[in-house]
Amino acid sequence: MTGDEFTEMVNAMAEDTPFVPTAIYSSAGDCIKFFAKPDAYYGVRMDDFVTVYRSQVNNEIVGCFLKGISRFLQECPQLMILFKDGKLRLEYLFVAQILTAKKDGIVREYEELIDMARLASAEAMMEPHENECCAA
Amino acid sequence: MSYLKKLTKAGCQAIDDAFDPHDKQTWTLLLADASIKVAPKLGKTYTLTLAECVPFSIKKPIAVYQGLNRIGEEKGLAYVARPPYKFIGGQKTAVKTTDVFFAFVNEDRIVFEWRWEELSPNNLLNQHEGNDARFAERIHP
Repeated sequence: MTGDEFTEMVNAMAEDTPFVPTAIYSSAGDCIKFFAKPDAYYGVRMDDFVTVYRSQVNNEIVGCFLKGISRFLQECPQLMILFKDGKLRLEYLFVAQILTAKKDGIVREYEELIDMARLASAEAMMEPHENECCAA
Repeated sequence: MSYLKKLTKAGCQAIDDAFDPHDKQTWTLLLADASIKVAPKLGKTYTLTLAECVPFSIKKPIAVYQGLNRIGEEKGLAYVARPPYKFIGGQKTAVKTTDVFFAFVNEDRIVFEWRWEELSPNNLLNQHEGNDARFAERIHP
């Protein structure tokens, strides 16, 4: 299809349906995207692992992009015990990450992310094949 | 360099008129069905951004970088664009001069992440990540 046809197809899906906090694992990017609020956002890189999504309206953290998931899990194989039915709780992932973080001054952002993930019970389904899905 | 211009892949939608930074013509980029189907759960702003800003950015980038700075993504691409508007609260809104839109593509040509960032469009390389090069190479323009 063309880009214009793609636009038409996806525009037809734009409805005023209620926002659902969601975590998505993408094997294509080996990444997890977590959306806690429906605001438009800017990506702001926090460290090698996390890019936070900050609201374009009030600058609050509304989600995040976590990259290099498989590599991180390989480096911390103990995290495999945190999987249940193939799902990984994001709050545990953040805690593990902050314990291994090499950059100072980002504790508050991690605290916010941990609280948001806990509140949403965010977990990502780690599929071995092409994409994704999740629940929060 | 030899590669297929047109691609299809199960579980993905193909956009066949994306900008090919290698010859400045068009080629196919892919989006996973799952990342499209989830859009309504994430609200109107997310869905409209996916519908309009993503295709715009892969068709009309102001810059394309190759080599995302992490293991396994050395052949990934980052398309950088300035769509004419963005969506806030589900409504079309004017972009700021510092707004740029990124679409990240893996080596299988699947677009796996897209987002607005606040940058100067005149000096993207290295600006965002201190002394670490964010991308290995600018391949367009």
